[in-house]
Amino acid sequence: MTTEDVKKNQLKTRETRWKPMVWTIYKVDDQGKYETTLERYDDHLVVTVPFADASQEQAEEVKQRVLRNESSPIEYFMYKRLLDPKALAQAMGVAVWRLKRHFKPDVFKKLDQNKLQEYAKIFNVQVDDLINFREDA
Amino acid sequence: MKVKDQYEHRTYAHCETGTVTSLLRHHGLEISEPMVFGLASGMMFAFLPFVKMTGGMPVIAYRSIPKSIIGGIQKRLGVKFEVRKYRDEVKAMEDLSELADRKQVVGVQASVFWLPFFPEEMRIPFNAHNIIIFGKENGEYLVSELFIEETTRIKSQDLQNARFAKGIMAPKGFMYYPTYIPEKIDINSLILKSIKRTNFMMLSAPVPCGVRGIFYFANYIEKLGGKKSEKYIRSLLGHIALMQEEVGTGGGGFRYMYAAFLEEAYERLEIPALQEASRKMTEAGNLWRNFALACARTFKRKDSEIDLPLIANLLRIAGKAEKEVHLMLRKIT
Repeated sequence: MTTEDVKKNQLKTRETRWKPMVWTIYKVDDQGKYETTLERYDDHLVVTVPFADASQEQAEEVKQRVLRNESSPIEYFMYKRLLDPKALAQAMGVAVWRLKRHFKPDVFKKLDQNKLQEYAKIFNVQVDDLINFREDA
Repeated sequence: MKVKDQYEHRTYAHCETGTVTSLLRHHGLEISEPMVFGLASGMMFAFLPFVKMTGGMPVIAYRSIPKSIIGGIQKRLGVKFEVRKYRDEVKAMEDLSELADRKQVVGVQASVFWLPFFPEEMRIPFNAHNIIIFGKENGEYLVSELFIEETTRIKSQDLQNARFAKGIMAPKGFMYYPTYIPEKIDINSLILKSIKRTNFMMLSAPVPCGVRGIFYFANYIEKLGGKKSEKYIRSLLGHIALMQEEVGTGGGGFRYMYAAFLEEAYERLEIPALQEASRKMTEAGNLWRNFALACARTFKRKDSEIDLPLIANLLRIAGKAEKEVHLMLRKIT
């Protein structure tokens, strides 16, 4: 598993994490010829990041509901890992309505080990982190 | 085929044209990315509001459907690719491992969600990404990723997850590499044919595709006000900027790359109209970029006013400029 790698990655600041990323853009030079230029995190639009942030904010909201026992860790980790019900349902190979049932704390508690294992794999956490709800897992 | 000894990593603008170009170059065919894009008639436009992606966002495509580059380039150039798909995950990884041991450089379809070398903010569930595997070392695969300047590595288990992600456009272990490249390829004789095909697709395709699709898209944006919540509209505008500029399009939603192709076509064929078309396509690319910037601005500044007619008009201007280029090119093909 790469849990360790991912953890290491998360400790870095956003700028460091995005540093190796480049966008190759075709641009005209002074002579009117096309060449490629590389755009980096600082000078590129990077709309990916606000989308990711919005999903994290949603995760925070869900966290409060999980703590109040109104939702399950499945919903929390779904947003934390930038997924939505449709994407997670597809990754799990279940229908959306079945997935949403797993957001109910009572249903979540009765989930069998196999299902939990599948969720844990997608979220890149341990089954234990789901059951005992470790939010930073 | 004169296969090179050492694989040379480079960044490319787009994942599918990038991997195909890189594979062809490695196997001895000197060709540029815009040329591959142009010859495979990769440019397109389609707006499909009824097909939803993650987050309930509509599909907006600036290129032909995934895998059409691999198919198109084989047809056009007469090169042959070995293309494989799997049901059995273990078999797929064994085959890849064997190819890597034989020093075969392979293009692999992978889901972005499972690729640990990307920043976490980028790891969305998008299944149609392409990477190149060019070797194996200490149980890890060597990866050439077009978005990253240096080569990188991936663990076997991670790669397996990425190759067998579920959902729309699931990779199903899809991998490919060239097996045959003709001794002589006369690229020059193929250029006009390819332009003609792009022309046909852009000008003759019915709504919501091609040039008509662009204007349909503009009307759709203009009429959004009042129908959808402000939050949704802002996200949609962000999504547009994302699809057009950030997912590896070479800028201006592939329009710059197509202009680069036209420029190279002019150098090879010396038809003046091609150079003029290239310049005009660059201008169209700039207009597309203006449109995306306006979208991104509205998305990022939550307190800004949403001026949908203005944004829709920017798109119409870009669409009009592009239509003119295609009409001009129609005359010479």
